[in-house]
Amino acid sequence: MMRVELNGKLVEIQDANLSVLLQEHTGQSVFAVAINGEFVPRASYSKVRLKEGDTIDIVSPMQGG
Amino acid sequence: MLNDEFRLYDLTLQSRLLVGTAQYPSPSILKQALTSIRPGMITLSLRRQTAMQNKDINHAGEMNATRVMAEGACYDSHDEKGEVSDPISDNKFWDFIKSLNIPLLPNTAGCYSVKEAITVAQMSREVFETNFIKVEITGDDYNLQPDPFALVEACEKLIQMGFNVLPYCTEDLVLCQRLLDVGCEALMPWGAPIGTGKGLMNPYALSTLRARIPDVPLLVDAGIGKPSDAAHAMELGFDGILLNTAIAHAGDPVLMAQAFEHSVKAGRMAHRASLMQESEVAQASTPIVGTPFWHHDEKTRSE
Repeated sequence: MMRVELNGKLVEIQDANLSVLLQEHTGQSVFAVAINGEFVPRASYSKVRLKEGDTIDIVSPMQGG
Repeated sequence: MLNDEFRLYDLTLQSRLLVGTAQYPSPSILKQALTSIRPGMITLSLRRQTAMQNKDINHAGEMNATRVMAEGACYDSHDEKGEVSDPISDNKFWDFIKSLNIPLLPNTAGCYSVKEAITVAQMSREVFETNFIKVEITGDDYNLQPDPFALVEACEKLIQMGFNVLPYCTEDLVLCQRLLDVGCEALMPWGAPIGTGKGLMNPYALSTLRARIPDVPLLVDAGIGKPSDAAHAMELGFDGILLNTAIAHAGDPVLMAQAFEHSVKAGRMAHRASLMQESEVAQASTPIVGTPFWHHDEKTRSE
């Protein structure tokens, strides 16, 4: 069990694998990910192991100006 | 009209009017506006998925519907088939945008540092599948003025990473020259702060910019309030216009989008046609020699 910050909210996770987190917490099929402010390419998701205190941002397309 | 191709990096644009997709009263009106004018590019952004969008939150649809209604009384949360089409909750927005087949210009709005802008650009490239990025780094929260120092550094790095960078900048000539020095192939100076609709606050500086940088595409981005502002910028020789609020906040956004389309074309044609020289004294436009009561000189007039 560890705590990470997901889109600004603390969550507890059982599995350190990023893919598992995304599967559990992603509501959309189109998104991109950054961990601790660094971009994580889609191809790397399954290789990434999360650590206690990591900050994860999941973003999706939105209107913009 | 002769061929008047408009290219940004490796892309030939079909229109010199680029528009944002935010703040429209409803998805339906956004759709009508975009399909009626088919802008050269449309701008988009990335935002965090909110708790409402995550699968583990129950009643997400209900919460979204409530929020949408609260944000604007005329926000149409249903599409033509009567289905809920909140573009945020299920990303029908993204499906709709893709269906338009208009080139996409993601932005880095909301970034305050080089690192943030680079990360957002990388995420945008993966999601939107384009090398284009409008680089926007806020330097001041009050007027949303771009941070010129961070902007140059971010643009240099992003160009090295293969991005087609369109920097949102001020009209400062030296800043613009630095942006060209690091490899930018087009620039987007502001007309006025974002969302103000004040038009061209510094036409002298914009004219100077055009005169000193004659061969690089320059687009006025932000601050445009009226179609005449857009026409003015185009008459000054700018290559294109990027705007959002002036259309989205109009009483009739679809009609206003069409008005801007015409004004950008009119301004471009006027620039290509070369404007007349201003004169300090009146000059009759109707030839007066030979008119019935024409008199040649003072003596003749007194007789």
